Amino acid sequence: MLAATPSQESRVLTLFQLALRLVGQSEQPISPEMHTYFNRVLHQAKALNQDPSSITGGLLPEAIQLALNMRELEELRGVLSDADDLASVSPALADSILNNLERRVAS
Amino acid sequence: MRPRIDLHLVRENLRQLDETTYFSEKLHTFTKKLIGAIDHVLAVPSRYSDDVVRVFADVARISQTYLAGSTTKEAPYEMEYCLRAAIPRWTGRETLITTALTSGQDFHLLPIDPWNFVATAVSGYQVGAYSPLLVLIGVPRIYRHKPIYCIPLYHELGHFIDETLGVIRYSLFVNPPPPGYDHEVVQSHRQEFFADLFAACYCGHASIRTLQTIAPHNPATPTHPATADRARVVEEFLGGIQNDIVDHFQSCLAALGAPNLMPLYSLPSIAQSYDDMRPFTLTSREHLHGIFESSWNYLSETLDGRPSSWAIPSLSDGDIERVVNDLTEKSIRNMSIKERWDSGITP
Repeated sequence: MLAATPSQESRVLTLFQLALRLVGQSEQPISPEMHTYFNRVLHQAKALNQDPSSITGGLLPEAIQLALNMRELEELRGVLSDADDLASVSPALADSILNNLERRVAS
Repeated sequence: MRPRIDLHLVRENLRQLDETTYFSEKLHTFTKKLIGAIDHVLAVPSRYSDDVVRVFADVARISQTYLAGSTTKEAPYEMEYCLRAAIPRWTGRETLITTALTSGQDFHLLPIDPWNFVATAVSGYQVGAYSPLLVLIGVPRIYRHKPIYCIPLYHELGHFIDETLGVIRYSLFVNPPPPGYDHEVVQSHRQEFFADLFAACYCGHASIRTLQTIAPHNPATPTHPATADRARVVEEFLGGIQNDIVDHFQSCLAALGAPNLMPLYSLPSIAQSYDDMRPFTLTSREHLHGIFESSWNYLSETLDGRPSSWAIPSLSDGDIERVVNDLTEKSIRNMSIKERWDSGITP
């Protein structure tokens, strides 16, 4: 709004965080669509972190937000380096990534 | 509350909305598909986890709130028409605009993307290629038929485009705040500068005149740059004068594969028509957006005593404002009606 802008930071990663929460739940399989989405965000964020000029167009806003968070939080960078894609994320790693992301929003 | 119960309640409200008469066909389709997605989730309780249902209930509830505002006859269709005309340059996604009339004086614009969520997390429900973004615009009730005073909606649309493309996020990534600067403040100020420039692309100088009228001497705050700084950036942009902020945003847009910021309006010569109390016949998108600056100037000049056949001395400022806003609203409405007539589409 002209007088104040709403912060979307906490909302933009909702789906990404949801995927991580589903990792620890064995009763329902995670859909292929969710895998594709998560992996796209993760790979774009990592590529952006390594070399911003490597990506031209098609960047997801949530990937940029994740890349921003990674740059600000060394610990988040560390835990995400253990994740190549959603299939490689263990429940413990998912918890660790979520904790770091939530700490970023709360700080 | 359990998320499934929340979904039942949202579905009930959506069904009531779907029965309303004052609803466009596109919003009916949106509502029906959303009800279908809720039906699907509720029909198979074991298929989706509580976490998925909880977020979906939240998305559906916000969507329902947005839709509820557009069921009355009070929606400012002319402003919705102008904003719809601006969006395709920036995103290929179909966008449905809904309106909420507010009791305050602030304009706002909030996007929500339920179909991306459904396609990803509620994947058992087949949405196909259906994926319109839903955008809620909040308009002060007293301005709903006052297009000249709704110019801030273009600024709000700028925030929406920024959010959709990730412009300021990218800006912060490639050009982080200098040491010692507060990240949130820098982010907020860049968001405001971008939205100002976006509005200036369509409404020209009128975009910043509006701000100077509302907050002429405001200093910088944690959420907004000083009015004087905002005006300077916009004036330099419109005047073709080099400006570091503008150049930075242009490079961000280029990196994101988005179009650049540039004036996308031209000023229609409305004086002759308005002097005769006739709407101006708009024939181009550039004139459609440009009518805001032309009308703003015409209103200012008439209030300052510019002679015309109808602005006689006994008319109050309020009378003059009403006539000029009415003429502007009718000019936009006539273009909208003609366009629909020519294309044969339903509203």
